[in-house]
Amino acid sequence: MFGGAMNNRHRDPKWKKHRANKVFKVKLPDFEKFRDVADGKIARNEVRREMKKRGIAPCRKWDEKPIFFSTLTGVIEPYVPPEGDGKASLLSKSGALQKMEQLQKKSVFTWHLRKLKQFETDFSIADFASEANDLYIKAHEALAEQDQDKLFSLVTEAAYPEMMANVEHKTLRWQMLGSLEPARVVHIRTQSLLTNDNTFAQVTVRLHTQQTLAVYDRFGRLLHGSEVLVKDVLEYVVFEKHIANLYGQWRLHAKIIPDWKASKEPSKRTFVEPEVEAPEETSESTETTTPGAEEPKAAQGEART
Amino acid sequence: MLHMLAKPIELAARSLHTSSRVLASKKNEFGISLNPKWTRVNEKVHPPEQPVTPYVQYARTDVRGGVKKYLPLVWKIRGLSIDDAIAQMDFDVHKAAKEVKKALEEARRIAVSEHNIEYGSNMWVAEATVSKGTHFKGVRRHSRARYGEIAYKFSSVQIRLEEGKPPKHYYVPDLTPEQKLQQFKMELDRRFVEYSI
Repeated sequence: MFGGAMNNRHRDPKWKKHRANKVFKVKLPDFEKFRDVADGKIARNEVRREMKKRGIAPCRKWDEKPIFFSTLTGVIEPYVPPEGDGKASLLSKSGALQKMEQLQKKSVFTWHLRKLKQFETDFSIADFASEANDLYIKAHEALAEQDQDKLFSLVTEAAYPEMMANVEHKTLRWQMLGSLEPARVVHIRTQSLLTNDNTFAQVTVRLHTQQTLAVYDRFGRLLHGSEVLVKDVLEYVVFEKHIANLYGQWRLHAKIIPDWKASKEPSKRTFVEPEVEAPEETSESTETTTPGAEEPKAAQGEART
Repeated sequence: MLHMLAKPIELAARSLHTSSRVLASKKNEFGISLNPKWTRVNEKVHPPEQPVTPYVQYARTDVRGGVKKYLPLVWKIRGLSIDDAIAQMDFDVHKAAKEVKKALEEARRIAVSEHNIEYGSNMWVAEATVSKGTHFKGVRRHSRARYGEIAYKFSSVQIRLEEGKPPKHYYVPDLTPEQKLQQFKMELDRRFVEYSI
């Protein structure tokens, strides 16, 4: 079956061409090229040129798209968390200064609060803080379960891709163990969009909680964190509502990351450093640089084995 | 109250959510299967309570040549480490070996870049199979107004790589002379001779 090759050449090459003409020519698709196009190895404009050459018109696109303003992408005048929050006492100098600044901003705060209350007549700051805490827990539980539909109802369209980034094919184990301090509303802003009465509200809540987080990869190996290590988490979470909309709901919108935040814990797993191509130099030195560029590649190849 | 007008248009432009949910199609516009059944196991998430040896499955669909051209090659690379398998395909004179080599290299690239496998060399070919792909029919003229069919064959090569070193024996090894003797003796002991003492 898989034995040697049979000689399929005719002994007399005289009528070779005539014999070849007996076979009807079939144009076979070049699957290899299709694969390269699908992988993005061939540039899109090159594909277009090829299609043009063959006289194939591009398929019609459905360009009409429904537009609906359901969220603001950014944070309106983001809250600036005081440095050393959770550490500086009111009696210390920095603590006293922070309190002063807060009092100065009080008038703007009340202006926006009044604006919010025009739409939300029964809005109460104290009630909202606990409501926000529940919303935060629900959203993060949905994220840990990777329940995309549930998560989409709890966070805004702007926050959803940020939360879902890099969680695909991973196992998240997240737990909220309790609050160190009660949740507190620190910032309120409203903004109208296109028309004066089409208003969005953003409320920033300070959450000081205890949590555990462990991230496992597809094969059950630990990537980050621990399931037993409890960490104190201080967060400033922005919640948003389209208050002009009768059916609008409070949803998690963003997190404010202060400049003074400590750097992140590095990943537990190690990786081989990817080979980065050297930037192209001017035409004069191209010939001299190419043999040199191969050397580090070879060195890395050895290091891998 | 200037802050009321803080960049409303810019915020509005950035908050246009115009993308509709696109259903995952089985094939792309060129008919290449983007997500063949063989590679769908790559989406499976194993719970931390039952960790598994990291693995990656890759299928190269519709490569030129029939199944018969590929079978001897995939038999050859089963149970080899990835580097050895690539070396084997590199030195093979058959045209199909080039395709198998490409499949192995692509599988290794995917394993390192997408599946948290640290070293590309620390893998072995746990499974290598080949199956029938798209076939096209051609026509060839015979004498006396008769026609013959020609099949233009394509196959798909499936590969599964696992992290770690290859096992000592992938195929069941031949028996050593001592083992053969033992087996022969055992057969003799077990035989049943009718009407014997």
